Amino acid sequence: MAETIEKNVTENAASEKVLKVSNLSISFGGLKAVDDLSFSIDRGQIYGLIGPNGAGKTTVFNCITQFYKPDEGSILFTAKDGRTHELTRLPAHKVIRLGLVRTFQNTEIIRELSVLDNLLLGAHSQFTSGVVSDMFRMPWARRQEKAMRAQALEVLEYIGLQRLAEESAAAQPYGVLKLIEFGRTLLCNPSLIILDEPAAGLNESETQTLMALIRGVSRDYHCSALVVEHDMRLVMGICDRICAISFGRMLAEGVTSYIQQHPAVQDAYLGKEEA
Amino acid sequence: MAAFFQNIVGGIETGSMYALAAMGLVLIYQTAKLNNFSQGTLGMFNAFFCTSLFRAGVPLLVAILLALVFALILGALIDTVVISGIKNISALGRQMITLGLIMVFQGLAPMLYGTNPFSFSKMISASALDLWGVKVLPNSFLIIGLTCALMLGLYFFLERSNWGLAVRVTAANPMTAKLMGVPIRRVTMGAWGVATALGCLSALMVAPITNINVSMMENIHLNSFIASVLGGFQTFYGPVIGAFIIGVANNLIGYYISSKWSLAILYAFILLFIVIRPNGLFGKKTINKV
Amino acid sequence: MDVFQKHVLRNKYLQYLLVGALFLIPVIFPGFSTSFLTLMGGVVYLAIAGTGYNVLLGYSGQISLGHAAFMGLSAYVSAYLTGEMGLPFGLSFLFAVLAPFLVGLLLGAIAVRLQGFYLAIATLGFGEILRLIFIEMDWFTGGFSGSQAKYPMIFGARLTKEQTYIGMVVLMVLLMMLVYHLVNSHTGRALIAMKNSQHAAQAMGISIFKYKLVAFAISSLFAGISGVCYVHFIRYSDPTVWTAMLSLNLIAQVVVGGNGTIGGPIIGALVIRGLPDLLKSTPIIGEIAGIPVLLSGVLMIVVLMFYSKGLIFIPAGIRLALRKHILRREREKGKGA
Repeated sequence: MAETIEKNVTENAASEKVLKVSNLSISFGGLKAVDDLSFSIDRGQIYGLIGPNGAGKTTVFNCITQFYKPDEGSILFTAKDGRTHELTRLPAHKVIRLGLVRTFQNTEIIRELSVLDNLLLGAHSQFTSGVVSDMFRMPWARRQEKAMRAQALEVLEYIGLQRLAEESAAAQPYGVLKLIEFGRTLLCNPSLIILDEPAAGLNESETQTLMALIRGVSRDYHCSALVVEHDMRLVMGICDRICAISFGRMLAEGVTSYIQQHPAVQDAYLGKEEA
Repeated sequence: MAAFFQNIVGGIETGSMYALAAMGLVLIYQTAKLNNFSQGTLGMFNAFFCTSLFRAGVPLLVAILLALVFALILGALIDTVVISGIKNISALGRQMITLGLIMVFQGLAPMLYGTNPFSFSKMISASALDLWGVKVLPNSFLIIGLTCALMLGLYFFLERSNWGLAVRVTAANPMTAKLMGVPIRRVTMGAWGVATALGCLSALMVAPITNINVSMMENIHLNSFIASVLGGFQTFYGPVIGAFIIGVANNLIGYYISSKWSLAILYAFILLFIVIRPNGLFGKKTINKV
Repeated sequence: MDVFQKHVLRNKYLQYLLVGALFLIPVIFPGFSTSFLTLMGGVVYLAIAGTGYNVLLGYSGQISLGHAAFMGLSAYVSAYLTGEMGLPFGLSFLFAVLAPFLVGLLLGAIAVRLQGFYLAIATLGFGEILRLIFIEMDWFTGGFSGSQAKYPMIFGARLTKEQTYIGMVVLMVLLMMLVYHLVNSHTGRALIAMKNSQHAAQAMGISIFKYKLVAFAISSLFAGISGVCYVHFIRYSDPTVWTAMLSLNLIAQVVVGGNGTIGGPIIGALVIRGLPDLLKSTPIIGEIAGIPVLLSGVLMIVVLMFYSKGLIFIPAGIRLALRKHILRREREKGKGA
């Protein structure tokens, strides 16, 4: 057991890191939500972040995507062009341009728009036409819109929703909304997708579809994924490595099989005798 | 120095009228979560009602009391029939209904009472008292005193009584309030009633200066909105304090800097202040949860 | 038939042209009075302002009570530049529209920090400051006595009232098309996303700052165009026109007509502005003081209470009801057989 872990560590060190979080801390009104957390994700890796309710998982996400500004620590992100950026220096809306994109726990789908338009929203950072050329529908703006539309349709086909393209997003069931939100992340040419409880509220077969999709993107879109999830089967089924946290602190970090058997993780989930 | 105090007393007097109207606005905003754009117009309409009673031979005091009761009922009725009673409407849609109310009552007033303005005498017509060089009309004392008494009364009602608690709970979170058994429909109805009565009182106070006409409340209505934002809409007392600040500051700027530009200068300052403190003087910052 | 329906009836450009053609009826066919043309001119200039305001309210979810003052600003600037300075109409049009555009950008920057009610009242205060300037700066605006303007002069020829009106209608149709393009582009999607969820918008790379500015700038620009139309059609402007009440009417117009639809503000302008004026000129109703306003107010409340999505959705609603009715009839027939 120990040997395999050792081996994995060296392998990781050799491969390229896409995200490197070090000594991340943030507190809200004196309460430390995240406390000195460090972990890193390799390119192409599916990484899981687990922990009991209120452990600070979503807060970690919000820090990485710059919705919250961490009190301390650094978050280094290496884009596809090989350049490394310190995310904490960027406003929230600029993060996606580097290829880092997220979903939300309760799905943030724009109900007023069609399914296809919701996907196109994910491509927003790829558009270069300005407001005036949009208003006058200049040839280059039209060309770009057409190309993006084709790409969005491709993604819809990939996630198996092409027949819903022109339907209103408001009319879709929750499982479909989750898929739309997942598909939306694929349109920004991502290198890391952050998924906040992607399987929450999904039934068994929907979860299976989602697992296959997440596994597939690292292969088909050459990107990594960071997953927060309560569904242990999903986490254990798709993640290459896992970081377990509790009360904002790291409990354990390592390959999936190692975390599965880690006593501290089991304690945090099942509760100690005296707790 | 006397001029300074003269301006302050005058400012408190106009501030009182703003304060009554602002209190009405914030009562409705807090409980029903909407801006009542029709408050001024309703005040105007009720002032017309009051004078028509007075002209028909009802003693002034009785006419005023009847008008206040009428306003109370009118407000409650409006809430039941066109505001809270309807479903499937956006918050914006509800506010636009109050805009429709403006049109309705601006149409009703000339229909029922004619197009000529009504004059309205001061409640106390005695001449000004001289207090260390500051001339104060007894009527001004009445206005200021009545406003302060009402504000204190409302404060204790909101802070101490059971119904006050219901109002505050509804203001904090209507959904939770409903689940906890607070009759929020009755709370918003009461808020509308009281707010409309406050608007009516404010209109009657300004009536001796402007006469009673369709546009008599424009100035008060506008300033009560700005006062509410200056003071901060999340509290009940903020808008009242904001109203007094606007009344006094407008007078002082008008006297010492420029009477022509006093309002413009004052609004510019308030705008700047709001940009720096987006929740007003007393409002708390709301945390956006992702 | 299907092809016809798909390519002709559903073609937005044709629809907008048709709207324009309908508006041109009073100048094409004889028998309409000048006062009716004045009334329709009032509808068109409000429709233009409403079309812009819809970008702000309907698509971006922002509110402003200062847009009436923006309309006034461009009206005064245009009147001053063409009158006192003797500038050609085209040039003064440009400057007159630029003024509210710049002021709108400033207001947009304020809007980044304020939300909902605070934003509404801050913009109200902003508009009041402008209005006080209209009143007090009488060398520029004529104060309470107002400012005069003439029909536009194009290529050395003075337009007639009818021609000015036609120009306004053409402008309105063009602006409708521009907004249609805008809302169906990535900019439009960004605005709609910002309205629905700021978090989702930010996560998708949409800068809230930029798009609030865009929304305010476009709506202020349209308000400016509307103001120029007003002053050169009515040929007069005074401070009592540009009050917060006009801004509130703009909102009412958009909401009653159909928030977030291209045609909504046009229908709203017809109802909110056209109807009271039309009632005023009808025999019996118009003679009793207050009735036209009262009826319009009642109509507005009724529409909001029972059709809060807006009047523009009524045909779709009827179609849906009809289809349901036919379906039920057929099902009953099926049972009977």
